[in-house]
Parts: sequence; structure tokens; C-alpha cells
Amino acid sequence: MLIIGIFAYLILSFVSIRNTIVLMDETINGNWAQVENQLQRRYDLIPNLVNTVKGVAKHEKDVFTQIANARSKLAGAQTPKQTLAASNMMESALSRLLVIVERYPTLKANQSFNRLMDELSGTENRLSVERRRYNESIKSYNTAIRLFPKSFVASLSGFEKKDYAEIENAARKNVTINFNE
Amino acid sequence: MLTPTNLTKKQIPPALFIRKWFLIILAIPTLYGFTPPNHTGYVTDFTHTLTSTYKSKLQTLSHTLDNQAGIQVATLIIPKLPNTETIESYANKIYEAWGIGHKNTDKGALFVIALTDKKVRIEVGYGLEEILPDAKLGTLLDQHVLPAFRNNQIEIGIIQGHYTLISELAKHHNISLQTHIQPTSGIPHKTPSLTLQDKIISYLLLATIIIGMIISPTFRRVMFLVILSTLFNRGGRHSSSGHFGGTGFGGFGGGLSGGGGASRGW
Repeated sequence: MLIIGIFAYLILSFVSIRNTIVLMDETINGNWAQVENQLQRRYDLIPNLVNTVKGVAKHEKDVFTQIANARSKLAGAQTPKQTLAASNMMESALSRLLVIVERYPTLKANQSFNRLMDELSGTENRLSVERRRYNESIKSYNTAIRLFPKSFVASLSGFEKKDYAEIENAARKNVTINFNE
Repeated sequence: MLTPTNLTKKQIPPALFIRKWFLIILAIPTLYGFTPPNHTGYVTDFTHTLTSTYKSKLQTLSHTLDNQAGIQVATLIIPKLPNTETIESYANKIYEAWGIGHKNTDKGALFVIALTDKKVRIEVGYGLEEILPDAKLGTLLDQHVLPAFRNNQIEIGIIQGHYTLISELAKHHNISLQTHIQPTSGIPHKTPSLTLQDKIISYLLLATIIIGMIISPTFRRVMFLVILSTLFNRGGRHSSSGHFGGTGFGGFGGGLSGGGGASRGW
């Protein structure tokens, strides 16, 4: 009876710990979905922005091609890793665009351009918030599956360490928009 | 005797313990990176920029909106941002720490003003992103807050910002706000200066009291009691109208924001 009891205890512990890990894994998936939502939002904003800037700065062809490339990469991305690589590319292209915009005072006086910029900086900020939450959930997951007893359960059930969503720091800094300064 | 039902009960505590341990050891320092300040209701002012009259008026406005539409609008005025934070990250973390808006609906907004950084932001919860898109909030700041701030009329800017935010939301939900602030006129409302007539009357009264106290011992005793009771009254009233100013604030509801909103510098 005692042996059966101990056995049952172990099985139940195993199941409960495994469930906790599954929940953490699902939190990560949920947070990743939010990151993707925001990437989509940015993706949708870009044609508008590009068109507005193009109207004033026709000859800055390089940056528009760069944005178009990043945008198609983003559309074709399959894994989180590819998505993040494409979004980093997009960020550096956007930061270049923003430098260019500074040279055109007529744009900065344009009401609809300002609205677009508000939407864009809002999206960038949402993206950084969702990315931070995604990374936080990964951090607690990664820590959990390396600590006993979760580490034991995780290795038996095949849960592996996950990668953080890396940010290209230089690119991000430039994208932060302090418009009315 | 060990039976399976006993066992399930027994094995829950360690799991809970681990979860708690995680929350305390991991979550708090990584989530915020600084200690979020405590709020004092809908309006939290660490800079004493708002006079208590306007502070309680703004609280009442927020309370009305919260009661009737379940939307929580909060204002926070700080002297300076923590070194590691931008206005955007700070606003988002405070929003999360306080839990503005009700859980699941996430309808809330946080108006943050960092005085020496000259930065201002309105952060909205997930539930208000549709009603208050970023561009609208940017325009709101441009039109109702920044002009006053640039004129160094910080209090007016804050009142107008908070008021406009609430009236936009009230309009959207067809709520009429009883408390009416006319932010553009007569602000800041300092204690009205005394007219000449008032001055003469109060001097006469004071003179009568002093003469009375010199002449009659009974009058002296009565006056002593009167002064004592006014002191006590004031003390009592002071403690009852503390931070919450009778708004009946029931706490924030655990709402969350995904970083929506707009920021400006001035």
C-alpha cells in the first residue's frame, strides 16, 4: 500500500509539474502572438507612410527599396527567428527613413503625416512592450526548466530552452521618435 | 493512510510555493527595474503642482466615468523619470503595476507628466485602443496640453489634459459629466483676494475681540474655548478629507496596457 502510495504521489507530481510547464509554454505562445499582431500593424502602416514621404522626397529611392525588401521578407517569414530578423531589417530601414524625414520641414508641418508618425511610434512602442513580455515569459520558462524538479520533468517530456527575441539596439534607438522637440 | 485524494492535496503546496517563489524572486525586479510608486487614487501628484481643489475635482470626474462606464482614467505627476526609463517604458510599467482599468476589459488611461524631463504621455489600455487611437491622443496633447505647458502653465495643462481625456470618453459613452471644469477660464484659482470692505470689517472684528479680551475675563474664557474648538475642527476635517477627497475610489482593477498611446516633449 505504501509503495502504491509513493508511486501515485510521484505520478501526480510529475503530471502537475508537466502541466505547469505546458502553461508556461502556452503563455510564451500567447505573448508571441501579440508580438506578431504588432508586427502586422506596422506592416499595414508602412505603405501609407512610404506614400506620404514619397510625395515629398521622390529621389530617396534607396530607402524605399530597403523598406520594400524588409516588408516582403516579413511577409515570407515562417519561424519566429526569421520574423525577428526581418523585423530588425525593417527597423533599420525605418530609422533611415526617419533621418531623411528630418530634412523635409514641409512633411513635419503636415497634419496627416504627424498622425501617421503618432501611429508609427505607437506601434514601435507596442512592439517593444510585447517583445519585453515575450522575453519575460521566456525567461521564467527557461529558468523553470533548469531548476529541479521541473528540470527532471522537462528533460523527460522534451521541453527545451527557448531563444529570446533579440533586439538590434542601435536600430531601436534610432526608431524612438521624439517628434515635437 | 495514504489515498490518492490526500496525495493530490499534499502535492499542491510545493507547486504553489515554487510559483510564488518565481513571482517574488524573478518577476518583480525584471518587470519593473525600479520600485513603482504608490498611487493616491485617480490622481497622484508627487510635485504639488495641483491645488487640492482641482485635484479633487479631477478625482471626481474620474470617479464618475469609472462608475458609469467602467473606464479608469488616472493622472500621475512626477518630478523626474528613473534614469533607466523612457516616458514610454515608465508609463507602461506603472500602468501594469497599478493595474489601471478593470481586469479583462482593460479600459483605462494613464496620463503621465515628468516635470524636469519635460515629457508627457497618455498611455491607454488594450480596451481603449479603438476609441482613442494614438493619432487622436497625439492631437489631444498638441491641442490641449502642450500650449499651456509651453506657456509654463503646468497646472492648466494637466487639468485640460485630464479633463479632455475624460470628456472624450464620456462623449463616446453618452455620459453627461455633472462636475464641470472650465479649464480655459479662471485657472489657477487662487484664494480670492479680500475687498476693501471685507478688510475693514475683519479688522473691526479683530479689534473688538482684542478689546473684549482685555476688558472682560469671561469673554477671555469664551474666546479660548472658541479658538480651541476651531483648532480641533480643522484637525478633524483635515484627516477625513485626505488623499481621496471623498471620491469613493475603490482601487484600480488589474487592467493591462500594450503600449498604446502618444508621447510629447515640451
